[in-house]
Amino acid sequence: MWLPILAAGAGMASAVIVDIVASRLGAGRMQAYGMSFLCGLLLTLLALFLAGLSWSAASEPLATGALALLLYGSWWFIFLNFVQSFDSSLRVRILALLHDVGGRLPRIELYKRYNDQLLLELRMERLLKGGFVVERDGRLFVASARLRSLATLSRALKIVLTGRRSEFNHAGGGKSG
Amino acid sequence: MVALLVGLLATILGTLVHIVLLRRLSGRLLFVSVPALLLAALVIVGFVYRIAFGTPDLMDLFLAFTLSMSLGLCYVLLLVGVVYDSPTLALANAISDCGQEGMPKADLADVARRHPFVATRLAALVTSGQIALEGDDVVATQRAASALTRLGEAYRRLRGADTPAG
Repeated sequence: MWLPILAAGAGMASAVIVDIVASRLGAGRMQAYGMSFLCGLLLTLLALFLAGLSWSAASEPLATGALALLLYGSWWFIFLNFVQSFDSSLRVRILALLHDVGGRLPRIELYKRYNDQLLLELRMERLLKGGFVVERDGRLFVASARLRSLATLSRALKIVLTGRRSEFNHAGGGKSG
Repeated sequence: MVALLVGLLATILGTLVHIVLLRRLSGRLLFVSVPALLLAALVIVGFVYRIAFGTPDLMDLFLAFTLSMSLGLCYVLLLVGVVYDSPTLALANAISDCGQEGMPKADLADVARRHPFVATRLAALVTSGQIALEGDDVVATQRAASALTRLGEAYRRLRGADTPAG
């Protein structure tokens, strides 16, 4: 009965190792995440297959397999969010900065490191560098259909679930982000 | 099969109830209520299963609980992304809102003014009790958050990250 947890756990262990090794070998973040997910998935399936061969535990192979894959998928998504939050979550970066300086920091110092203008400039730099946004004659355009769809979907979900088009204003308000 | 069925049904029920209640919930309650609702849903589904098919095995219930909480945490993470604006997506939306003419690069300052990310994230950290404001200082307060931060930073170093974060 422990099979789904053990198989998903083995998959997760390999996913973490592959993410570290791929990153160390110079793979980009998206590539490393892709390899991590696929290797973990393969190991989960392999564990299920081997257990199915040697154990009578997998008496309901379809249900056991589905359970293991759902667990692996959800754990990998949690892992992805945890790892990614240390690269891009402002709250986590503020906590990490506080941790680095011993737990206490003058507010003015914090604002020197993290302020809205700098934050958005850094994000814009990444978007331009990645080709998601392009600049022509001093004007910016979203070049990536995927980014545009993601931004639209995120805003639509926000309106449906919270009634706001942005956390900073309400639905039906004027221009927002 | 029992674990899969009970776990999935409990997740669907708990999540749907949470979506219905979403606009009435605020602050920490918005996220803390998810595991509580999932647990309540698990009890209800388990009880219905018992009436219909007999008492489920304890191990099946444990697996159903693990599945429900794992999927529930995924839902919470997605919800965080929906409730709180992402600076990257805010930029994409601000540019898209300008239509065919595109957004003048100089308007970036206006987008920053309309999106006070740092102030709201600091306020959220204060509300959740992870930091406190003492005079002119910002002070970290929670050991658990500090341990998680250490773990995350250690992992970041382990994979050799050197890009600026933020």
